[in-house]
Amino acid sequence: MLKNKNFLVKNLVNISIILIGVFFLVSSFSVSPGFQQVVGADQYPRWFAIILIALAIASIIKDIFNYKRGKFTEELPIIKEMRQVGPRILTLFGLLILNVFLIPYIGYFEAGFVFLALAIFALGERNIKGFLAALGYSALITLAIYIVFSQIMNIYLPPGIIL
Amino acid sequence: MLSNLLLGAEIIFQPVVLLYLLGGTFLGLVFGAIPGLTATLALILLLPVTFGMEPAIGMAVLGALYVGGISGGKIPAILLNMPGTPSSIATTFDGYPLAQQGYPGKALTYGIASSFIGGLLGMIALILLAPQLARITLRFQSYEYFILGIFGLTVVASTTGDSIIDGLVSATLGVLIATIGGDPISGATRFTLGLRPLEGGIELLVAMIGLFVITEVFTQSANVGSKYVFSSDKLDSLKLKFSVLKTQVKNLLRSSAIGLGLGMLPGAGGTIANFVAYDQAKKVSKTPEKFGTGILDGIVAAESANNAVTGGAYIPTITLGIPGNTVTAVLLAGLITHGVRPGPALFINEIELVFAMFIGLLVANVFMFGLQYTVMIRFFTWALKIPKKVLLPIIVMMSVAGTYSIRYSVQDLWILIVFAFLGYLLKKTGFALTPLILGLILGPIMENNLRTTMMATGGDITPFFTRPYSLGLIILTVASLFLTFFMSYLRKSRVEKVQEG
Repeated sequence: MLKNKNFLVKNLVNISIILIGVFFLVSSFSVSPGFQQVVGADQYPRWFAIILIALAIASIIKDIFNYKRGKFTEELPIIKEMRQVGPRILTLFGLLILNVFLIPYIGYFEAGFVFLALAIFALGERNIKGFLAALGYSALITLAIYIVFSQIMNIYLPPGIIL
Repeated sequence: MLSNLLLGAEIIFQPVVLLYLLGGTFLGLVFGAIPGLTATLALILLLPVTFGMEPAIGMAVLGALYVGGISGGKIPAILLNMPGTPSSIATTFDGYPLAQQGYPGKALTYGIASSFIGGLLGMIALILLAPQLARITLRFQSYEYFILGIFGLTVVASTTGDSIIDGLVSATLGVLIATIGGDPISGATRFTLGLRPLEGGIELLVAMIGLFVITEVFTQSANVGSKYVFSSDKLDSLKLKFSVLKTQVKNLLRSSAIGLGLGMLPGAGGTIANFVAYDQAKKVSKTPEKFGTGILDGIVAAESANNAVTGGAYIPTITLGIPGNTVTAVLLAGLITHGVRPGPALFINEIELVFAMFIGLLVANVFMFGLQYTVMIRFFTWALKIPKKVLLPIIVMMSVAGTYSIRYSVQDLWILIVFAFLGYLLKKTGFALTPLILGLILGPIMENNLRTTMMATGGDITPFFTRPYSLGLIILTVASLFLTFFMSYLRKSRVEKVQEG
């Protein structure tokens, strides 16, 4: 069973969900129930944590049955996408983290410009021409977003060095 | 009723509000028309933009986005054989073949007209039925609301995704995540790990943007280089012949009724409605063999049904506070974010808002018809020229801005990242995300009602079984769960028999 990647990944997720359930269950004992509560602030999440653990175990049992009946042959979308375009998705995710990290330091629009330039470059042609095009696109888009969000709609966004 | 409609009309028929609705419908159409972007995405992304508006106007704009988003899907379905939204899948069956035969204009024209009529019928039914249903649900107390929450969660969990158990896992996870932060009754802090940003709880919209929008961007980035192939180079006449439309009256009424009925059911919605309506139209047709070859009946059935869903889906959302599908879950989140408590009390406390929403939907339906008939088709061919490598990062930028503007908190952006990761992981391993969102929405409502009930009864649970409405809802929940299990078992065993055969 453990040699089947699909089965393994699906059940690693199920096990992670069980661990989340265990966290909520254990932590619920340190929550104050509140004053004169019949069902305290601790009990409601505790019961749902137990239900979550039970359901995730049921999901694992269901998957074992399905595996034994030869139903775990179709590749899971996560494995398929990671195999085909994993670096692209991970790059985009990494750039999102970088963007959020940069916002408090250089501002929303400046961090957005960096994000857009790198993301468009990563998703498009990876040569000098592609990089210059990405810079051009990101400058135009950042300006457009600045005009719409900050000037027209008056939405407050973290200010930066330039905008 | 009439005076209430006039109250709603007074709010909507202001030049600025009409302009907002026109913009909302247009943006909805754009999101619906671009394959990969959906009405849900449009609503989540633009919900923060409505924060500055009055709740009635904000909700009307969200309704316009919904109407546009559902209708826009037909354009790529007919021109590219790519449904813009899942609720337009059945439109491709006859829309694309008709376009390939050199009649894309004809396919679009009757598709647009059917959407308009289906939408109109759905909305009229909404205006007539919702207040009546609210009268019944006004008798509900905290007992019924708790069971109603369980009912909504189990139905949606069992009808979305491939596995009922996985759907329930997703819903329960949502309920648990909703308990993070301050307890709504006693104020006790729960599960914050000592992190201050979590003390205020998980903001619903932040979770939604992470789970749906960013996850969708990651998914779409997998086929960023795909090119669109149009069914036909030229557009034929867009003339609408009423003599032709007259022959479709029965089809329109039947399909709209199917859309309305399925829209009202939690967990169903446009995707199922357009298939069922198409199937029914084929079954009663004198020429069923022509379905799939480019017959107008197929387009009319699919399009009128998926637009009638809009009105139907609003009914449980505003009368019970139980959303019928993902889009109405976002609408419900919109109501909550605007400080309005959904449920039958809306018809007493916020009657202006309710009828402004209704009138807004009707106006958006008219705008949808006008926009699609005039500028949208040409705009669509232009919009598809925007490369996905540019479009996807723009959506991320807008998501970040939307997330920040909710509480002006950079910490929320980190929570967004966590939900984006969680959403991608769950979605790609077979866990449906809609039950999780529903768990996040219904979790606090269920908790409040359960604890209020228990306080009132001193811990006695028998009223749940002795109150007729509560007992009825318990029976309904158990029956629907068993029925779904049974139907799923039957379907699987049938598939196995076919495979063995």
